[in-house]
Amino acid sequence: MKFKATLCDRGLRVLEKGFLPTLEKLGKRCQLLLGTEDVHLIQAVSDTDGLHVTARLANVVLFEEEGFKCQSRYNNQIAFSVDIVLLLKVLRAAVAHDADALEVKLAMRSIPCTTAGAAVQQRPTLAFSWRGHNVTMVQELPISQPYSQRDVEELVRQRDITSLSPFYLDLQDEVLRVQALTDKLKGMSNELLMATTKHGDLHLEVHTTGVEFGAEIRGLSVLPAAATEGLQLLVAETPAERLEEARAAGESAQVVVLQKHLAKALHSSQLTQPAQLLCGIAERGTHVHIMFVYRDPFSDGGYDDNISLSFKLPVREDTLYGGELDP
Amino acid sequence: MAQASIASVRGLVQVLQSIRSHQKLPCAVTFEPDTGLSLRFLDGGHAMQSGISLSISVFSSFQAPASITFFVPLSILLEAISTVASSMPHEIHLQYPGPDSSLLITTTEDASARTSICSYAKVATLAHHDLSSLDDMWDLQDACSQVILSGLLLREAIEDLEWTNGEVEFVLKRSPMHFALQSIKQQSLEITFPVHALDGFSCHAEEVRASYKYKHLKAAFTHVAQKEAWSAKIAISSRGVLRVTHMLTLAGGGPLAPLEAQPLLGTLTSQGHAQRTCVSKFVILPHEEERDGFCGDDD
Repeated sequence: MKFKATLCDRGLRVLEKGFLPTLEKLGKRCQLLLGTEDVHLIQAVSDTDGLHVTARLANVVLFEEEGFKCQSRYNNQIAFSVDIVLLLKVLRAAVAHDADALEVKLAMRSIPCTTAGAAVQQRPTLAFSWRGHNVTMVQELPISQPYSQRDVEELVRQRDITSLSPFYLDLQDEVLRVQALTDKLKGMSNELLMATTKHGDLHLEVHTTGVEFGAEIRGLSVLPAAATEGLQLLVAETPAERLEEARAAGESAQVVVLQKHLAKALHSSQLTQPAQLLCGIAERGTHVHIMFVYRDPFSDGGYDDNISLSFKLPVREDTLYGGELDP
Repeated sequence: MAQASIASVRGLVQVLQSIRSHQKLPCAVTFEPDTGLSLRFLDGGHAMQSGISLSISVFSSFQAPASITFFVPLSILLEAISTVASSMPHEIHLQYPGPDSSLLITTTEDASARTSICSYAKVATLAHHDLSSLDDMWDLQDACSQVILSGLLLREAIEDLEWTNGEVEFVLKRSPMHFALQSIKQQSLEITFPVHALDGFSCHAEEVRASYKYKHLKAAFTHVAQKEAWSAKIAISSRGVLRVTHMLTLAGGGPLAPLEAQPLLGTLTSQGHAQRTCVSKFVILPHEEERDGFCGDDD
């Protein structure tokens, strides 16, 4: 297998300032899936405390076209895991020295063994080399053994298992207030009930013996637009009643998630500044899917197909509330 | 049914901070017609009571057909209000009784915005408790010494005494006028307040001394979150009971409701001050050790 590429300015910036620091908050390691079209940064459930995180960055964003090579026997895909802090250190050193032509390649480093007669060890690394002011640097970042074909396929399968939800709500307009609310709910309970309605309302509820709390965030954009066709206006007067009304009409979905997962996913928007923060509940309530959509820097008002970040939140069985909300 | 609405949401949350406690013990909430809303809480150790009184003037609307009192766990009440307030609504409404005899807290927002947040909390109420035995402690019964000074000065002094890790003695002397705090453990550490900072000073004996547990003083003096200066009144009874009253102002909020001329706990306020003022009060029993007699020569 071979991987060789030159990181371009935009790629370096997007990784060093946005995506890697964001992933660092969620787990120490991440898995890199390199390919001929794009790079995926993946944090599986074992890398985090339960969230599944996928960042997709198209090669055209990260690398110079010239000199790019990504080859392997498995569909030209290469995967391995890496320590995010170390990777960031390497990239930050390059940024600090105003590096020119930051090259990265997969390399096997021979480590001589100290025991006499033992075979020389081969350690896989990601080798970075660059030229800055007065300095030429080569840094080798240790990585895990590159994945076997079966492991690559499993990684891809896990990545794709996040099915699209029937509809999504865009939280971006209210992200700060929803963040503040979610953070405050930590004191009340570890879990919260999350419901989305096709009317554009997100409900967050906590039920404990001492207090019942609910917040309804109304007027959010719904995607796809077709989901809102034929909806009658809700007439109930309180948030709980409105949710009940939407439920009865089959226009809502609800699950129970861990407060910390929702809080982490929401706070992740800080460093990468998405244009849309889409939140949807999967069919049959199997998970919550949160997708960050970014603005295309090269066009007015368009969205960027080349960069995305998404989270899959595990859900609890709805038995906490007996499957039914208290009226 | 009693209802109250308040527009100074941030102010309400800030003022409630002054009696914050992690204890789930019952707090008595009273809607008093023509007067306002009050909260009263007895600390688990039974040596301290704390409370807040919000005069009608801080509310944008207030209805109480009769005096109504109910009990909720203090920490849950404070948590519910601050969570409901976290989306920074225009107004917070309190209603009792709400569904299932709960205290219902709801919000309203600007309806013209495209997106809005509507939140609510239903706080379960507890069984009625009898507070009459605590009233003795709460209300002024006997002659006492008192002084009024800046709450900030007092807070700083109490914070300075934190490292001494023991009881603090309040010392008042009649003439010359003297008010100081002294650490019991570190006798050398005494903080004397400048005479010019003292107002309304009166001392019912030549010398009055009473000591209190540090943790109670910390709760009574250092949790006030207000940044602007405020007045605090210290009163020590002949039995050594300390009463601390903070005159606070509620930050933020819309136009004031018509002013009610009801100063709440004494003669501290002028008409001007009654606007959006709120009173935070603490009553602390003296700490009894081997010493008997709390005040100087008062028989």
